[in-house]
Amino acid sequence: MLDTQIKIETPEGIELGVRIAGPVVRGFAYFIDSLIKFVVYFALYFLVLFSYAGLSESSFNVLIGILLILMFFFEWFYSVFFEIFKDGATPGKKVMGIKVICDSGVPITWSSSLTRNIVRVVDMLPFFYFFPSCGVGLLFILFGKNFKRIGDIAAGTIVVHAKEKNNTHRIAEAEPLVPSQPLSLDDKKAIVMFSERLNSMSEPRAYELADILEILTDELGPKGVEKLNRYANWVVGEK
Amino acid sequence: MKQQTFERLHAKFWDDFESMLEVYNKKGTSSGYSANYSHERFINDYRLICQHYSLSKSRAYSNNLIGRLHSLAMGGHQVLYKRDNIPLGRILHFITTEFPCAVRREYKLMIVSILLFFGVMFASASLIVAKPDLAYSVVSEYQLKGIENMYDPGERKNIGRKRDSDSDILMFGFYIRNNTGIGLGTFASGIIFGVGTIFILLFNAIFIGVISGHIINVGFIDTFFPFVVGHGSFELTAIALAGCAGLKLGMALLNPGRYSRFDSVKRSALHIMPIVIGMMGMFIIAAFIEAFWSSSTFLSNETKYITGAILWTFVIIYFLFSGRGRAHR
Repeated sequence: MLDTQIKIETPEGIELGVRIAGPVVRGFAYFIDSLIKFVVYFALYFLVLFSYAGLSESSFNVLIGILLILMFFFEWFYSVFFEIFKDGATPGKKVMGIKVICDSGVPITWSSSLTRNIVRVVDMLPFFYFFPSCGVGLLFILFGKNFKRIGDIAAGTIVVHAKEKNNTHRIAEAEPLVPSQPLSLDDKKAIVMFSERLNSMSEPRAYELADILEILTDELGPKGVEKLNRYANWVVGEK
Repeated sequence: MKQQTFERLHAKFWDDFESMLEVYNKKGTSSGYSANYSHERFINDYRLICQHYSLSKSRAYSNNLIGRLHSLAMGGHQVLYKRDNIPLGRILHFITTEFPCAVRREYKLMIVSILLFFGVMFASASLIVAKPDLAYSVVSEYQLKGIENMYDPGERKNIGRKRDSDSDILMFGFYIRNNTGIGLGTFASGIIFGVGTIFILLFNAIFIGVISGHIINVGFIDTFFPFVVGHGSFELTAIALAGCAGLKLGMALLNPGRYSRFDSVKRSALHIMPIVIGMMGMFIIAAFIEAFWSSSTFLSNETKYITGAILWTFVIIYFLFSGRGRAHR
């Protein structure tokens, strides 16, 4: 298994595995979110610019006051809003296919989302607004456990890949064949996995792998592959 | 049981569960199952899925099957633990009980924070009153001049001037963005072993103290104190609350007790979230008072002192007594 997968045990007694998102994919997500924020600020800037000419002084003041309040919420709660109401993913994260969950595996809660996004100020140190993603948070992501920035540590959250990559290929149909010697569970599993992955690897590679089991199949090359496939059909088969 | 038999027996059931998950996730936050699903059915089905998943692992079925069942179990797990959104009753309970109780639970750090903030503030104000020249070695002459102008009864240009309601709204927005931001920063920087919080607390305490002392020295008492007394009740208390929350974070890191440092920080952050949320609310109320009440010129100073006293009493009584005996619901 890949080392970016972590196991979470649930009360039902099963272990769920999640794949932690690394700094690069998170960086891209952050970049997209920053871009969105930039566009919004840019639009607001022009709104202010044009309304300064068009509005009377008093309505202009009201406008600026309301904008300042909006900016406050936008600065601090942009991520919180999306993480709570859009299933743990800001637009940037959504595009990159990642999301935030609690490290107990449950969907993110109000308090953890608030914590991780307020503590973001510290993650940004010492650059503040200029290179926000390059502060101490990045160091924590690179050198800490499970790619957590300080906010993630404080809130007990992890950023994971939202979709699991499931191989949906089925094994190629063939006449089932009982192997010439008894196989352990792991052996059987390895043979079935080989059979399932057949159509995603090149023929020479398949021959190469099948040749390792010459001791079991007594065949080389295409015939070895075919025999393994028949074993696999026996392992999963109904007979 | 061989894999294909297992798959044949349960394929329909898995497909049903999968389509239920799809419908559920498409509906987003509204907890809607597909037509033929209910909470009871979901729970039973989810347990069965978990069972199938463990079975498929212990029987060493193929990775594809295990992967599919894992996805189903994962999807079900996310649905099961989805939280509902906050209802109105919960908000009321938060204001009357949860927030003040959370503050009282941290009374030790609250006292430390009050001493650091209010204590240092009064100390530096008294020091400046005793030795007026000291003010110039803390705050620059230019800044002091600017502040003097703001509260000069003769000029009354900025703060005391007769403002229209439109600039009140402008200042309201400014206070919310600026002050609440400082509060949140005070809390967050506690994670640097509490040092960040202590620095911001002391910095603000000394600054406010020196300014107040200087204002007393130059004799602008009648313009300065009526202005700050009202919203100060909420604003200064909120800063102390932010300090308390930040110190808690720092303490969790320095003195984790029986937990690992990471776990300790995580636990305390969740514990003090009510304080942080309540603190933001107080900053917003303070900004409202500061923008629409403190700055008004048609109210007499007596009115402002009296309402200031009422507000301070309210804040103190609220934190001392509100929600007592109702903490555990």
